[in-house]
Amino acid sequence: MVASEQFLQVVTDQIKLVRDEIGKVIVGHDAVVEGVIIALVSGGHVLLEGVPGLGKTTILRTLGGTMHLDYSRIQFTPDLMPADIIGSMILETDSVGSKELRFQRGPIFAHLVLADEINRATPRTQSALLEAMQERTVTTGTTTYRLEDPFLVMATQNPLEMEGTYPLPEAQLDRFLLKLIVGYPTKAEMEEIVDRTMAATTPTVHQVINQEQVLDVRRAAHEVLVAPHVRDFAIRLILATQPEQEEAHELAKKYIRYGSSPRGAQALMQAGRVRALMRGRLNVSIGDIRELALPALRHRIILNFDAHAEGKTADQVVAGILGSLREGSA
Amino acid sequence: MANSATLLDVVETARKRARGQITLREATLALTIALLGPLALAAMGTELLPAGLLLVFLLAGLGLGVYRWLRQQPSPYGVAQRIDAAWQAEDQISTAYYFASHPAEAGPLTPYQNEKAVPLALAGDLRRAIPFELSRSTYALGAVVLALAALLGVRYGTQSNLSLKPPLAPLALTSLFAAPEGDELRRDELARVPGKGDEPAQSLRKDSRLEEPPAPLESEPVAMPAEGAPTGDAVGDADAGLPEVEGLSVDSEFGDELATGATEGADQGEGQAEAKDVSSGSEGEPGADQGKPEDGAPSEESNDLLSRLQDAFKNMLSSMKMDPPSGSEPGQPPDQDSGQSSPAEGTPTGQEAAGEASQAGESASESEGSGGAAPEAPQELTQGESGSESSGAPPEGATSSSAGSNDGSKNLAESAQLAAMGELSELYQQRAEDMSGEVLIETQAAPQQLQTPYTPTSAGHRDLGGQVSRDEIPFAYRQYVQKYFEALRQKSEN
Repeated sequence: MVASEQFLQVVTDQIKLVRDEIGKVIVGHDAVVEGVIIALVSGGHVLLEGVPGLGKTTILRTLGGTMHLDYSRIQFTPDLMPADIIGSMILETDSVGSKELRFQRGPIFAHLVLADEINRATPRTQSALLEAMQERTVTTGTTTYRLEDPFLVMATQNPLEMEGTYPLPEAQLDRFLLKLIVGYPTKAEMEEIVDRTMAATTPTVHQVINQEQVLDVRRAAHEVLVAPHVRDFAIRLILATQPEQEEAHELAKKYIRYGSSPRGAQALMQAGRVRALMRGRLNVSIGDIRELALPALRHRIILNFDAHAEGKTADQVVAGILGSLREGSA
Repeated sequence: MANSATLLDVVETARKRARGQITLREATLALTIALLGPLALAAMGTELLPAGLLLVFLLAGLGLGVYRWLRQQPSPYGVAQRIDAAWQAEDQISTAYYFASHPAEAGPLTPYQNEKAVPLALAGDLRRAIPFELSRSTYALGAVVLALAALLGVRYGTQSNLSLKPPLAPLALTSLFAAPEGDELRRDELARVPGKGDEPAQSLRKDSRLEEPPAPLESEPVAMPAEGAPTGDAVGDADAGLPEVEGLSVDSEFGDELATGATEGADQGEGQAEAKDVSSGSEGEPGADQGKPEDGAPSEESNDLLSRLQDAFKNMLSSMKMDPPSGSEPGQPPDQDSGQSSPAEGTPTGQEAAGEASQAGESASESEGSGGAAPEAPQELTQGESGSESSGAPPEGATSSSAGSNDGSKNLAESAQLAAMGELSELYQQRAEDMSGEVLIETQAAPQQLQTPYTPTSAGHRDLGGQVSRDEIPFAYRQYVQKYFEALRQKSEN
């Protein structure tokens, strides 16, 4: 699979190119941009959460513009129907006048799908994404269509304006590899944003990577080495979030109603490999796991009422568990 | 492969360094534990602790050290992780080491990852990865060594040699605190001087809290009856003769102690007779007071006896609510105050009792000297006489009586007097301790009925009109909702 060290260098450079292209438009948000790239390369999906106006949609749109990949955007509204996402059968008349039913593909049939404000659609419509996100297939009637790789669903939601929204069910949340919190920019970043806004020219994004190159990077990331002690650390972290486990952390027993599923450990490993590769390493480190623990686990644990009553967030609980988790094992 | 070998060498070198540190740490711990044995012996001496304790601590320290050393042996993989953590190498060295030592699990990227890890391993400083640290056991060892040196120094200073035989505490106390207690120690030493007085006499004189010069050398027997001291059983004498005591007339409870104590003193004086056999005889025997003290008799025994007698006499005085016996009979010579009335001052009965006691004591001493083949008659006599000697002084002219002869002689006046002194209840209590059996209490048979007054009460209920829509709260969340609103209510109340 991996030809040489030169190939690895090319892969690393390509990822860096994508980051640089996105950086032309997006100021700051390095962790968010990196998370989105990680999700793309590792074959997962990403959920961005933040108040309006922070550039969530722009980030994803810019990422789509940096790649020679099909890009589609779905604005989720309460009246959006599943057929609006996956497509529908239409009656088509050919040149000789005969009519036949043909499946008109919806916007889900793209490499990069931006599901904007996903929590505004009804659960029925949201669930239309379930099969596509997990199985990479779309079934309509008796026909199943396979989605092309790479396939990345980038969803956004904002924590405000909860009136009339439909929070994503846990089953669907679990299908997102990472949940990234888009925060406010710093003062320097804000100045840069204002300067770019006032500039006469608008930065343009070039397509620097194509579908095959993305898949090459994914294959290379799949070969990144994971030592047993790193894998053990990730597993212990997952077990520590499960309150019914013997290895559960005290914070988990106190504040977590349902801990992370094994999919959390998979997400840590997959994302860790890409993160290591993005940094020019060929091995996953415990530092990678620590850095990815919050994005990979914050949406996979469900807090109990005590946590809500005491104002604890999933990030605080995971960070507390992470802080007391022992490193190293033979 | 060369890269792998280099990496393995680096890790192995670091491992040796780690093992050396563990060895040093555990050896320090083992030595610390082993030195606790000499420390204990230096403090307590081989008189109190067996010398085999040295071996026990040595083996314990050795065993624990070896056990911990074996358990803490670092694996090369663990050492590689320590190197990564110290050098912030992002687990590159440990990963490379693992896949180099497990080639079957290696992947396509393993050689490239190895090439990245080897320069890191060669460039790093192992002293920074496995730093030398003084363990806590080192400080413990230093403390133990200092303590041991200090104890040996004190021991050498007090006894001018390093013998571990005697305990250190008495030695140190004797040498350090001799000046403040010099008078008392001199008095005790004077009391133990052969030929200058009997120990029982000195002990009892101290018990009677008489701050007097040492007793006359030819002191009388300790428990010699005072003037008009009758003979009889201990309880009877105590009942009848307590008001007339002069310091040694005690109730039966303490009379036994005094008798025993005096006996022990007499034993020390004679150095032969056992306390059991000569408990009364030696007291009544004037010659016993003049006996030779035993050479090399342990001073602790006399000190112990002294304290016991002192406590007993304190208790007696507190129970009797009496002043110290020095003021019991004004005008009486100190000798008499100390209860050492001479035979010449005693009544004929007392003289007889003393004579009998002396005979009994002699016979008991003879029996001890003859290998315990004493006849029974003298022993019985000894026991019979002991009560009269340990008891107080009954009215003059009272005839000698056998055990229990005065049980029925208590009249109402004496009982009232005793009750006023608080003695009667104590005697009853003393007797009650010895009593056993069943107690039948007869009560008058009568119908019993518990009556509770009936009070009519009434309570009113009203509907406040509140509505609870339980459907809105899932069952699983009800307790949390309840807790939440309880917390809210508490906050609002506060």
